[in-house]
Amino acid sequence: MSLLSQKHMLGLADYSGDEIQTILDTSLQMRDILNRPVKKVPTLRGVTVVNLFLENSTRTRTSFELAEKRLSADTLNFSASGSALSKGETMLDTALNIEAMKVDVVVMRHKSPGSPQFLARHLESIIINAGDGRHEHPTQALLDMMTLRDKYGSLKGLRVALVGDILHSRVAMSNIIGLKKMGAEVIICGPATLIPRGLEKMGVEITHSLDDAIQRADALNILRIQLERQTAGLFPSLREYHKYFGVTRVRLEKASSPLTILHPGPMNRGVEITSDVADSEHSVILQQVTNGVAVRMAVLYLLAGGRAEPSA
Amino acid sequence: MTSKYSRFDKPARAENLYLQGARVVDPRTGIDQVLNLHIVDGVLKSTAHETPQSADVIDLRGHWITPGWFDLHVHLREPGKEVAETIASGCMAAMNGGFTGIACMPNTQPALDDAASVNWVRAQGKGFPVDVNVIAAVTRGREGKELVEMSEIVEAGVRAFSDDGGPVKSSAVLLHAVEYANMLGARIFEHAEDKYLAEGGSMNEGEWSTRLGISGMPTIAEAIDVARCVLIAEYSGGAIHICHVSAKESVELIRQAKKKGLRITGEVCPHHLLVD
Repeated sequence: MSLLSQKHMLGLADYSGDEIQTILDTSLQMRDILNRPVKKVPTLRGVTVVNLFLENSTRTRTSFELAEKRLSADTLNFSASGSALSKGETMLDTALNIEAMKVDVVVMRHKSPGSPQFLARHLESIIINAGDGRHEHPTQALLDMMTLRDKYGSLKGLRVALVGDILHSRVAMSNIIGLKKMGAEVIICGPATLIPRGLEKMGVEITHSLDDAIQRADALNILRIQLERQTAGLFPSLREYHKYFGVTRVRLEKASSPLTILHPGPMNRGVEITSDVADSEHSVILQQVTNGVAVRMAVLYLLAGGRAEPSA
Repeated sequence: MTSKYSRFDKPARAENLYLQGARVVDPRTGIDQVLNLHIVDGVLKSTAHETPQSADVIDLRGHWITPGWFDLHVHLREPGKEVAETIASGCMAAMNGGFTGIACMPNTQPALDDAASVNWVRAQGKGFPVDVNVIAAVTRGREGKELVEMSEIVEAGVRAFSDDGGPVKSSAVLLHAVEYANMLGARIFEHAEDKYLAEGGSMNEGEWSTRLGISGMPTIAEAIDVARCVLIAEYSGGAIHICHVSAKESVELIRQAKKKGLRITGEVCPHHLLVD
């Protein structure tokens, strides 16, 4: 049984602030394990986890796989290429076949928004969303929040600016939902064409001026900008994007106090972020990566921990 | 609504039929009441209260009897996509739903873009108690370039043309189609959509498309094409019907066009009205 009210982690929209707090608290304990000389506990011994990544991912898949191994779960990696999916099998048939081999947890990434919800309706397994299209990426937002909490102690009243391509960003959506639930203020900054309609109804402030966002925020979470958005006509050029929305040391120096810099990766150095910012003492980008493993261990433990055999 | 009487496993004889306890609705005569109908040789004889001798009795309590319905916009998918629907399955569905007439769209594979294919579809529908009307393609292969042989198709009994599934993208082609069809007493059914604005979208663009992470289509993707149709109808004097209207901006444009006396009509889908 899950130690949370939810069976799955489909998105932070389903979770309360208290539950997010529980996950973040548990993540601290998990990070202690990561800092030990022997980084492994028997918590999920006998639990089988499938990493069903039907869209490319290196960082998130590696992070989940490591989290699973640290908890002694049996893990299996599954990707779209070279699988029956490339032979025309549906995602549901693929998932049902994997489940028929008796697995307990499916960690999934898919390009279609709502695909984890869809699988959760048809499978018995615990589903953890590792990114569904532009919808949600809950563990990324949890690790961002954990990193901010490390720095500031609490998220309440913290002003966090999300900068860049909000329209296509599941990271942005999960961060908005999670940060709002934890009492933070969210500032959205990006070109008008990369901010989705109706976002203002989610209780965020929207600005098209990076200087304005820097003036008001305690921390910047800088999102990756993709060249394909330029060719789709959403902004004129990466050069112009960098000039007006790229986070540089010169811009940051205008702030009254230093801002904490986050980036979910992979970074385009010289586009949305310059190297002097990415590598500065205020950057917590690599701490995010460490916290990612801890957060995923916490989520796996809280959702699947009750399924494991009691450890001797 | 479930019925203990299935209209298909027990064929009743129209020679002597007693339909019991249905709500009879007929807008033309203003009737809306529960009645028992006695039908003899296919003709309504009386609204008798007593069960007539040796009649087939059908208990229709909880059901409605209405004039046959007509669906102006169906897809029979045949030829080409028989996995999804066939002329036979579409006709059976119509019959089950109380529809005695349907008009099917031509976006089959190949498209219904000549008199021969139109006649073929109608011939397949002959065996069903449903009038199968065909809306023929506006352009050959629905490619938006060359007009179909409209005169011959109209002569075969067609009254409407549509490249439904998508819009007639070229305004020049649309104008010429409306003019040519108007000469023949036919009209164009436009699937109103600006493809550039709607591209990649799966739902209405707004707060919920943002929350769900689903690519949205702005309502103006439809309304911009409706505005184009209104202008073309006004310029040409021809008639254009707007398919599956779903945006309030479109409704407003159609309303204004009608007020001006333009020959613009529209249709809506039940699910657009009833499902939140």
